[in-house]
Amino acid sequence: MALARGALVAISIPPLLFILSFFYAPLAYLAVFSAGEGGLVRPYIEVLTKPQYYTIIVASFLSALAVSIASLLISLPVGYYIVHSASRGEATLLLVLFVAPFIVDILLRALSLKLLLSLLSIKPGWTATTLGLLYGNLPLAIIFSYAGMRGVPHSLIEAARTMGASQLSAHLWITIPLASPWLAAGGVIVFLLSLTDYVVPSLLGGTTGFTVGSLIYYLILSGDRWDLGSALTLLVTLASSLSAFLVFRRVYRVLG
Amino acid sequence: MKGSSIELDMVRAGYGGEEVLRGVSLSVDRGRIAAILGPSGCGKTTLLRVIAGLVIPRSGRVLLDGEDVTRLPPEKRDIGFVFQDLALFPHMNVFDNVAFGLKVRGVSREEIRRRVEWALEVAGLNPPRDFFSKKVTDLSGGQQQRVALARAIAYEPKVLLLDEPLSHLDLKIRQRLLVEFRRLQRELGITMVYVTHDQWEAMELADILVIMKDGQIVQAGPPSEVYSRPVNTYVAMFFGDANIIPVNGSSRRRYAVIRPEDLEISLDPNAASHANSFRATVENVVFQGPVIRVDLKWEHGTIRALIPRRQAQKLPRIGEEVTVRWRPEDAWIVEG
Repeated sequence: MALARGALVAISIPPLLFILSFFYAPLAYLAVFSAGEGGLVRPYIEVLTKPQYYTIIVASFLSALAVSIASLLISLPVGYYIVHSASRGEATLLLVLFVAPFIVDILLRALSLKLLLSLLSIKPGWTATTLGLLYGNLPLAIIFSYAGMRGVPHSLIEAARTMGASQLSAHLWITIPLASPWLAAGGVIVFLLSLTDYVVPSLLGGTTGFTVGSLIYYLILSGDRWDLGSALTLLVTLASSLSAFLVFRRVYRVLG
Repeated sequence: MKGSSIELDMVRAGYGGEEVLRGVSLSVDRGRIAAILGPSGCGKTTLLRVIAGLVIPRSGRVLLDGEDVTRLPPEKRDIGFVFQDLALFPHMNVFDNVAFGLKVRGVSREEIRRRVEWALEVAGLNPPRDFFSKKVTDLSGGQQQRVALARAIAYEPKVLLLDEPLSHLDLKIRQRLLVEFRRLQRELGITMVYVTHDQWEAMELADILVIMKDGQIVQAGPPSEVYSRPVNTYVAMFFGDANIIPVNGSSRRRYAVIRPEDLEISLDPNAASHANSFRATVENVVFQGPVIRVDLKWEHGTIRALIPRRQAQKLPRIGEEVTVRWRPEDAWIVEG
């Protein structure tokens, strides 16, 4: 039974108020902040054109891109194994084992990774940060890969193989495209989390391993440049919303 | 196109601890249609999957055209498979679904276009071009069925395997597609193995009818032979309707199998003196179109007779006692 229009409006109000007051209001507040002394547009131009800022933004972007691609590539065989080869009990156990690290606080995990990397004589910096972000976000990628592959009926793979496709090409033609909404969602989320993380770079970043998140943190809390920090935050929010929109639209167009 | 012969030699197969095929041997000549008939769980789908290479036997051999393919992966067997759930690719349109087998074979684009059009036409989708860009999920059940068939024949495989492909369709479409399967086999010379639990589908198609039970083949042969000379009472009752009458004066358990259409009902009380006859009471009379079904009760249970409609004037009434007769040559004796 469909709810009456009045009831529908009534139950929509609390979540709407919540997201308005806790997300969009601070965002608007940030916009006001960024428009401080330097005028409405100047902070945006400054944060994007000054080399000390845009080099960090570009490096962080590349790092996040590498992390999201690598985590998807690593998670695909894991997800495949859990879906196709493991028994039901094994699958549950494996999922728990792979996801458990995600529950441990990232601070602790980044610290332990720092020890490990120093044992491998990898010094803090861009590489260490990227590895740390990959390590931190991999469980998430695995969950998305698993969910995506789980939704692909096995009979489709069998059908492809009876028609002459090898196991590998059957997966390339069938599994990957059909799982792509989940893979894309996982990729976008891992990318954004990697871009905005500031715990991992603060421990593993050294002098070169900054992220956009750590830059914002620095600008607002240490550098006392609220206007630039706010401008950058808004830019990141806008860019990530746009990229998420583009990726999802493309994926759903593919799937029809 | 030429089909290949199929031969199974003492194949055992199963999943985990369960053995589904328990020593199956079967041979199908090239260009023939074998229909596998049996109740659900008898192993008929597994048999098909073994031929396709989707299930690797635990022992025994699979031969296509005399070549041992037991361990060959499905993509190297040159087969077409129509799945029970069709397994159409939901992210591809009709053209790409049908073109799939051609694309993985590296066929040129013009040739793919030509073959897709041909396959859709053979499968009865006319005009084929109108369906190229349609989403498979937008098609009706019958059309999806035809796309699945077109997809399996587009690259002209030597063997076409069909797993209850018509079970979700209504009677009219089923009858049409059955005729088309026959035509396909005639025109393409393809060897077909058709799994079904529907004996009418099996009769319509089969050159060889294979009756399965509990992971084994109980009988294989032309449908007319299986019908008139079943090896046991199971086959007699599973394939067609049968009256099973115990034979007296035998040390072993033997039964006479008499098809309902071979029984004759006589209202004449003197007719009981014949050897192949007994007295029975009419329990039910049902009009079934071309025939009238008469259910009768006698000392060994119930029995069923089919009387042609044109003899309807002579029909008994419910409760009436009649004489049931048959010609000795219509009683087929089986053991067990």
